[in-house]
Amino acid sequence: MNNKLLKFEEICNIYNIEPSFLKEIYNFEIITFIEEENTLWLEEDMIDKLEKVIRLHKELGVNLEGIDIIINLLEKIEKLEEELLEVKRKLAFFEEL
Amino acid sequence: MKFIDYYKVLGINRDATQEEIKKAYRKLARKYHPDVNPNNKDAKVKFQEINEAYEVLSDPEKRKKYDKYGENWKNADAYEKAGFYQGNAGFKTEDFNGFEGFSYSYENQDFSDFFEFLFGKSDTQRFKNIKFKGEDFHAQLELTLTDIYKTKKHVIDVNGKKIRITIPAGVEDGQTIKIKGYGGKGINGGPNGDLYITFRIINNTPFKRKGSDLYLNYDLDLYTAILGGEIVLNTIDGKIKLKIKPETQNGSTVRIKGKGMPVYKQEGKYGNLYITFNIKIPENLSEEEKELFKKLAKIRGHKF
Repeated sequence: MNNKLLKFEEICNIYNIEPSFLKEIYNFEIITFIEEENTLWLEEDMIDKLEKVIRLHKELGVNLEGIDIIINLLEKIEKLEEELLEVKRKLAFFEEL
Repeated sequence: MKFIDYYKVLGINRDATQEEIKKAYRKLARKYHPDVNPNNKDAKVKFQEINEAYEVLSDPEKRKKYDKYGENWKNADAYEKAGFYQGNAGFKTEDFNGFEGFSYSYENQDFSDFFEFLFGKSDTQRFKNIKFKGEDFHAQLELTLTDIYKTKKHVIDVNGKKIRITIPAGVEDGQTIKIKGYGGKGINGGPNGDLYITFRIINNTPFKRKGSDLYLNYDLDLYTAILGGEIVLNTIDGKIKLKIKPETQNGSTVRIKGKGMPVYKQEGKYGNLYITFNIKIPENLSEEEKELFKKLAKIRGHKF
């Protein structure tokens, strides 16, 4: 599917956030932007992650340091859950024997 | 419809101050926020509950009304019977072969019937303003092991909209696939949400599955085990003839190449089928059979 790009300023408008805040997200390298023609662009596939960052900040008052940690931990949990699922499948196999 | 104790939901006393309410709410929100509890339905429900409780208790007007009438809402029971009704998202799906179970949940933030009864439909959009991309939908699809032996197209009905999806052969139990753009409609020109389907695979076969390999315990009669022969075996892909070599041991395993499950997203590749033999000792022997076995034993030098 096409992966549209969103312009930096456009993102600020859509989510009603300060450009300085978005710039900070970029500086923290929490989300990867594409740098082109002196402006920053966001791939549409990254929207999920960006919305999560904005929600964690606006709704729970977490700062970007905290958000970075949360996102890393969530990624770890996701990996562990996949492993757990795999282990459960294997266990079920042996229990059935 | 049940009375909801909003104070209990937030874990506070009935005389809690606005500051205490806010504090309790924020603490619970941090714990149950959907972003820190991905794929956790219980947390999502809980988060909805605390939001509803906060919506009522943080608003002095609503709180007053709730304190006054909340517990006695039943007095208005007749009103409810007169047609107060909230439908649930009905859900049905069909594929080309018939019915399959499918459950689906909205990610909406609808408040409870109880809330709407007291305060009417809420148009508060507390957590809705940070949305550009449409809602992601999550669904569970139950399929049998034989369903997923071949890549098949399934038509599923998501909220009245028929979606035709191709489910690759060999998906695993508990596996989730993402179908881009099939979630809720984007907001203000944003991209659509995605549809996530988690598979629940029901094993309707005598085989045990491990990845793409299948395992089967096969009861083999003593004579075929000793003398060898041929058996007809039902595999997931139909009947095959299998040669049994003489002196096949109890508990021994043979591998039948390519008669397992398809390897996920590797077309034309299949796992193996492993057959473990369980040799059946004959029962209720006649006198003649016993004599013959004794004879056999003697030849082997067995002493009684």
